[in-house]
Amino acid sequence: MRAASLAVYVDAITGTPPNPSGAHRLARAAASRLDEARERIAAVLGTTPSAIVITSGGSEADNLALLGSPRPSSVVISAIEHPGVAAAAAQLAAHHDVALVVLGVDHEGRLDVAEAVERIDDGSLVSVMAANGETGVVQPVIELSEALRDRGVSVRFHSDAVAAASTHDLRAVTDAVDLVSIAGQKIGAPIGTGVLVAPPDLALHGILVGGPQQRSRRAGTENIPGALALAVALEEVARELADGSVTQLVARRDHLAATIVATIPGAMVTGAGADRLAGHLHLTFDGVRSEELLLLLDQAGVCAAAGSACSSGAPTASPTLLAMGIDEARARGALRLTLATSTTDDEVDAAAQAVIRSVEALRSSG
Amino acid sequence: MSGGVDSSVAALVLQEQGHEVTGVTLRLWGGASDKGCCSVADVEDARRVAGQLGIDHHVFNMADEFNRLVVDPYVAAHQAGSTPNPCIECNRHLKFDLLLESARRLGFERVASGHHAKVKVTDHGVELRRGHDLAKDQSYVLSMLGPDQLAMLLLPVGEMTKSEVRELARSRGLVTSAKAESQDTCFIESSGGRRRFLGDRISLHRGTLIDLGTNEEVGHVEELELVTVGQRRGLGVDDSGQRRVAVEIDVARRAVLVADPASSLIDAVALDPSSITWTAAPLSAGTPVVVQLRSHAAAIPAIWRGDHLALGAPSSPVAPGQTAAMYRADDPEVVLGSGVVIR
Repeated sequence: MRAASLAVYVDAITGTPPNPSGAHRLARAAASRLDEARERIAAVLGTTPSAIVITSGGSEADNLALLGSPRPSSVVISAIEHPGVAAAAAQLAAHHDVALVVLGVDHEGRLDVAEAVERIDDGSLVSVMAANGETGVVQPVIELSEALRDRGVSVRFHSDAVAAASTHDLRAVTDAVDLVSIAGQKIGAPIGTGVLVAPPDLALHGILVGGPQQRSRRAGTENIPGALALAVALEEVARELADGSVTQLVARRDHLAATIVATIPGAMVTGAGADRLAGHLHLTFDGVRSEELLLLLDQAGVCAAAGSACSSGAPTASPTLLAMGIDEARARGALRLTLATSTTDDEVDAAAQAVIRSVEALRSSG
Repeated sequence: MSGGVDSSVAALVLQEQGHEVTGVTLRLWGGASDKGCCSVADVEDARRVAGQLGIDHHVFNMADEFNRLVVDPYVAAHQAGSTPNPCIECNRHLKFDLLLESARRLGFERVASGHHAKVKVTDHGVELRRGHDLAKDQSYVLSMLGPDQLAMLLLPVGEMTKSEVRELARSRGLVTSAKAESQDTCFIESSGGRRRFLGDRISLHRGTLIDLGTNEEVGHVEELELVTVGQRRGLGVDDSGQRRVAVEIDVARRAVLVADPASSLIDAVALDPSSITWTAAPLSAGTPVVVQLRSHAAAIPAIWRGDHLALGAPSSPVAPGQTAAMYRADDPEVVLGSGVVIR
């Protein structure tokens, strides 16, 4: 967790009354801090505080956007959505008689706007992520929203910005779409925190029902310390975007990629030709299996991911990579390395050498 | 580490002996199953035990290979009227082939499992022996291992009884110490059983029961593909009141040949030549052995004849697809080799 988020979190959880609902002064003190959190989150995102729904994380925000919005005639998602979106869309289709449309991506992992526009009808609920969490490829959410508007197609538009929020200015996304999901732990705020941005006038039905908190959009006492810590993390990301830290992150990421690709024959950067998130590097190697590579990297102290895992924790061929047309054998040799603005040059070099050594070891004994 | 008590204790014993141990769980089955080496709960148990021991734990996804090398052949074999042993095929193709290869690539010196059997280094090489706890012995399902595989294998619980295994797990507080054993086929749900599993994948046909002696039709079964050679259940009794025994499944004729128990007895089993394996040097024809023809059957004397086993005493019929595990006649704890029965 970011030090600044942790400090605010500890201060709030020890110093703020827990429940903002009530007519006494302690409740008012809590409510005031909740208002503060909403205001600060809204300010970073360029929206109004009443649009901020505090959730327990990204999956809940995604679920609330899809399942809590007024029932659409059809739900349109990309083939590379997070399960929090994909499973909610599947549930709409299976149990609520909503037509499901899944939009493909090109070989760079990018949604095809022209194809999407052809397949989206008036009255649809569209959900396209701001950037993919595995490949880091930024999706043309703003272009799609504009293209639909130009065509006079009226839709409700949701964007899962969980991955994008770490290194992206979300103001343009928030401006272009109706609903946006964010998760705290992806930006250095505590786990168990999230936000759904939803227009104040949207009749959003809570999927967690109970008390009238958050104007009945989300029952349950609000996580005020978490919301404050999330606000602080968003503000820090905005500062990192402004002060050049994110640009430096891109340079470090590209150096890591270049070192690996120059040394390991057949190593490929996924979505190399696309705009990608600053801290994301996704690679595939032929003739190497993710689980073996992860084991050697783990032994070398590098905590990496394969990008997609089943409920047992075993790496699987990622649906995102398969949707990009990457063949299954290559998809089984996937590696995702993520860097933070706090990652140092030495750590990047150590990671590059560990990847190179591990792939070479696996290939030489294969 | 399957998530069971035996592999938990195998890891524990090796760690306490001072080895550097890494736990690996194979994710084998993506479909519905509620037991054995395939469920998420078992992976969690394995991970938890690794956490208790303070060792690394990784999950390897071999679901595609398991489908291709174990499940698909299992289904195809039933369709062709034979009854394979999927545990042996999993050991043959996954645990002691793909996993061993993987371990070598990753720089591990040995692979250990929680099987109840022993590997013993002798002057002549590595021997595979029955487990110390004969009631739990699993040398049968390892009988297809070759010398290269045995040289890399450690079986730490083979020297222990099952109750010693449980006691050791309990004394160290391992969460799997009291876990029930899995016995059935791990990828088949207990609720639907083999009937539903196979019925979802192949068509099951009504079959005629034909008496081996008279060649007359004497009844029928609803699902020919579920009948196993040697089976008596569900086949009725003959005129003299004796239970009928299935002696052959003839899928082409959609028929089960049946006989009375005495006529069903066999005196030889033929092995698929491509399936024959030896733990050390191949046996020469004419060598006396003892042979075990089913998972939990007693071993019987036999002579190895180069492509078949001449049995020393009449035996009830053995289903094609089952494995014949051969042990030394003069030291019947030592596995010599194995082969898959073709008739």
